[in-house]
Amino acid sequence: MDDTALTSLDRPGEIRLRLDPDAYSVRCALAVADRWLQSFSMTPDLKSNVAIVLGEVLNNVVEHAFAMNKRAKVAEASHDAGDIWVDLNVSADTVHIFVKDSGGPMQQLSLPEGALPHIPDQLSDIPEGGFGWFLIRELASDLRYTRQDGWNLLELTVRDPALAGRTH
Amino acid sequence: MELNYERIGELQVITPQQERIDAAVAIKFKDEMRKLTADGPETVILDLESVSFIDSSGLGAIVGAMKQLGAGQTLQLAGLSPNVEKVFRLTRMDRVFRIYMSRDEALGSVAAAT
Repeated sequence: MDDTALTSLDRPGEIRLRLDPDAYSVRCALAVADRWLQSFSMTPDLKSNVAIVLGEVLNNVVEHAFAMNKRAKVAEASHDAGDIWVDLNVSADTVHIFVKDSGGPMQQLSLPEGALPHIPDQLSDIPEGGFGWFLIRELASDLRYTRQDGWNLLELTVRDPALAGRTH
Repeated sequence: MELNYERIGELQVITPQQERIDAAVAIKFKDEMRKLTADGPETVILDLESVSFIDSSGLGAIVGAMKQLGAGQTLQLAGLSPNVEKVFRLTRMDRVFRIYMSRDEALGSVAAAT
């Protein structure tokens, strides 16, 4: 739980976090980010959207980019589990998120479409997953993914929903 | 994953005692729910009053907890915080569950219907 390192960038409105690729480190990073965001005067709606988006992005990195890593973990020493870096940048009513990880590339080198899974009438057929990218695309904008020198680079922007003219 | 369990007449009320139902605890949560709800009364109320955050894994685990119930059992939700309610609303899962404002409203409503 203490693996999340917080690096000050010495610039107001910016923070950098490093975390290991596992679900508990994601939880810890979200807590650190959330605490940091409390120092800005932004709407609770925007703060909660940032928490949702960042959580989904980081969980996807852990579950997909580092999926191979998880399977190989028995044989591997855990000190080389991989790296995830997060930069957050707050300006006015907008939060820019930049995530960099050393995991495997996105399939087709592109971001999932993130369509809302169909919800059938039959309760037993209701999907239990597939909501992550839907939530990211619903709450964030200007998504940009690139693969560079063995790193996944993902940039996205979360705007205050009230100002963006949306009702979330 | 600590879940409080109460049996009130023909109801089971389950109350998670932590703030987050996320990817770190989703599988555990679903497992615990299966153990608690097996062979109990038909109506299961999940009181989310203490939960301030769920992610898509937590949402999936709650859906999974509903799907693994026995025949005739139903899962109903109560006490969603604004953040939790938002995730249910955006994913349209608010249409799948009966959702009450609070545990008291759930208990009152279920009692009135029986």
